[in-house]
Formats: sequence, structure tokens, C-alpha cells
Amino acid sequence: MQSDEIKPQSGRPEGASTPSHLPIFNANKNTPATIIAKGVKLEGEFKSQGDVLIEGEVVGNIQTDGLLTAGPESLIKAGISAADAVIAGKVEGNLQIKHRLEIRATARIKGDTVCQTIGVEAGAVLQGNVRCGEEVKVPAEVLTPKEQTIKEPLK
Amino acid sequence: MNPAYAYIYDDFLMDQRYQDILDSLETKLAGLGLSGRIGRLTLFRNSQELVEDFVRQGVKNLVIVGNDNTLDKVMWFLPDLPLTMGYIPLAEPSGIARLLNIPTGLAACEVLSARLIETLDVAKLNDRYFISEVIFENTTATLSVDEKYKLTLTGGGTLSIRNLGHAVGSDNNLVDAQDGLLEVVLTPQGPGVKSRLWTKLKMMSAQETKVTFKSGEIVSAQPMEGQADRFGVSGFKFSVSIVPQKFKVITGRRLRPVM
Repeated sequence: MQSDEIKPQSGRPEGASTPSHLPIFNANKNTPATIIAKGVKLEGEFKSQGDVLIEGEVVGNIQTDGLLTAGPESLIKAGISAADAVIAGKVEGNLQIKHRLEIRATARIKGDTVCQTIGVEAGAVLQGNVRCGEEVKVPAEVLTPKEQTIKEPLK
Repeated sequence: MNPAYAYIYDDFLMDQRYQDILDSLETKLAGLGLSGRIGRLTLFRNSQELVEDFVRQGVKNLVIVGNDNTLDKVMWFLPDLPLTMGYIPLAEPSGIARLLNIPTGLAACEVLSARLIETLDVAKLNDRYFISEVIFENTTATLSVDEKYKLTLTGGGTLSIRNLGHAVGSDNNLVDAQDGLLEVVLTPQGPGVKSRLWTKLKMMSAQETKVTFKSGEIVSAQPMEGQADRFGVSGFKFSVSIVPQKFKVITGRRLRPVM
């Protein structure tokens, strides 16, 4: 049964390797967490040092030194740069994740992805290039969707 | 009498029902060596002139006696004066006292005597200082933050900008008032009783947007009505900013943010 909850996975299918670390929202309480709830729209260049949880709408660029979590009803039309990320919503933009990227079954991503390690659930939709295992510098230049050449719309 | 202390009594304390507690208060303060000059806020008395007179007379500690409305009558100018503020709440509303962990009634004298002083940030709404929060309800206003990004309640809701925290009734949310940041809390309007019940059953479903920032502008096409501390404000546009480490307050304990 598919759940709307965003939780770090505590177990893996048989034969799969154990992840090196599981991201936990707001684990580092020394820096304030940001929450963009449903019913709120953020437009512009947003930078944070703490974890970010998005369940609303974001247009522009978003950058954090912590964990970025996009809930299943989130709509992000922005470039994303983060240390770790868990994506369960719609993203139109490039992702540059320094460490681990988890893509949930409800995720719909249109853009290029660069990360160190990646986990993708069955059912997720990705349209774009995916490169794993490279060192990604945070912050980094991020491109907005209009600079992409992908023509197929997200479903 | 301690020349370093002055007490500002609100005019509602002139009512006969407060006479006994005021007598007990003055006796207790005398016993603690904290009795001082007394000034009364009345309808035709300028509170700023009253306080500035005390400063000229050498007062270093100004104690507000009354409730949060009394605090509001002096808060708009007090941070600019070389004073440490104390607070003795004797009546409701006293939400700001709860945020400062100051008990209501004579027990507040013990807090005054312990003299635990915290230097707090204060916030400004246009040119007016406020210490706890400014709140606009039923608004579609946009908050532009540091000229970098904007936050909008797409379907309307409540916009609250907090320095010390939110305290209404039994609902207390303490915010770090020493971090040099304001916290904006956007609460979208609920869709209905049924949906709210369903939403409560969902785990990890964020109902409030929370972002920290230093300065910004609140703009709305429709007129906004709100409250800064207990002071009513209205208009189409407001600037809001933090003034870090501005205001010394005697509190009940070391302030900690609620995580």
C-alpha cells in the first residue's frame, strides 16, 4: 500500500545494499528548518543552511546545505541544490545533490540530476540525464527548466 | 526605597478589586529591597514622558505592572531607552509573561528578585517596536523577504511574524528571540471540518509554513488588519525587520526555542 508519508526507509528488499546513511528531516537542530506548506507559494532565490520541507509550490531556485524533502503534493519549478534530497512530488528543474538522492514512487522529475548515490522507487518518473557517483559542489550553478530541450510534458 | 527601580501601574489597577493585591505587592517588594518610584498610566498622561522622567532621575530598572496591554503602552519606545525591563502581570492577557516564563501575581516578585537578565532581539513594524509577534488573519498578503524571494498565501490564511513567540490562550509557541532572526508562520485557511479531520490523520503533513529571515515587506492589494503585540494596525504595506540584541528583560529562566 502506497503511503503519503515521507519517512526514511528502515529496510531494503532482499539483495539490495544497505544505504550508507538515511536522511532525517531537521536532525540538525542547530540550524532552523524551513517548511513550505501546502497553500503557500515561494517565488525567487531561496537559500537555507538548514533542512527544507516543501509541500507547497516553489518557483525559482532553491539551495540548502541540509536535507531537502519534497512531499507528494509539492510542485517545484526550480533548480534544486542540496546536500541530501527526498523527492516525492513534481519537479521541473535540475537537481544537484551532494550526497544522497531518494526518489519516491510518486515523484515526477523533469530535468537533469547529479548526485553521489541514488535510490529510485518503482513508479517514479524521470525525464532527463542522471549522473551518479560524481562529486557535486554545493552551492552550484543550477539551470531553470526553460534552458532544457526536453519536450515531453510531465504526466 | 531603591532609586534604581521604578514601577509603571496601568490605570485599570485603580479599580478597588486590585487594592489588596497592590498592597501585598508593595509590601513584598519592600521586603525584597526592590521598592521604588511609582508612576501611573492614565488617559491624559503621556507614557513616554513619564518613563523618560524616570530615566532622568537615575532609574535603571522599569517594572511594568498590569497586563500585556500595559506592556504594549510602553513597548513602542522602551527599547531605545537605557533601561532593563521587568514585568509583574496581575491580570489577563498575560501571554507575553508566559513566553518570558514570568508567573502571574505576587510570584512575579521572585523573578524580579532573581534578576535573570536576557538581552533580546526586538522587531520593528514600520517605525514601531514589538516584542512577541505581529499577526494578520484572513489575508492574501505577500511577504517579500530580503528582496530575494516572496511568500504568498495562495488561498488566503493567517500571516504571523514572530520574534519572541505566539501566546494566545493556552497556545504557546516560543521562538528564539536571541538569534537575530524573525520567523514568519503562514497558516493557509482550512478547507472544511471534514478535510481538517482527514488532514490531522495524515502523518508528516505540514500545515504551517515557517521561514526565518531578517527583514521584509508585507504587501496586499486588499487592506490588512493585524495586531503587533496588542496594538491594532491596518494598511496595505508594512516593512518588518529585526533589531538584534536590543532590549534587556528580566525573565523567569534562560529562554530556549521550542523545536
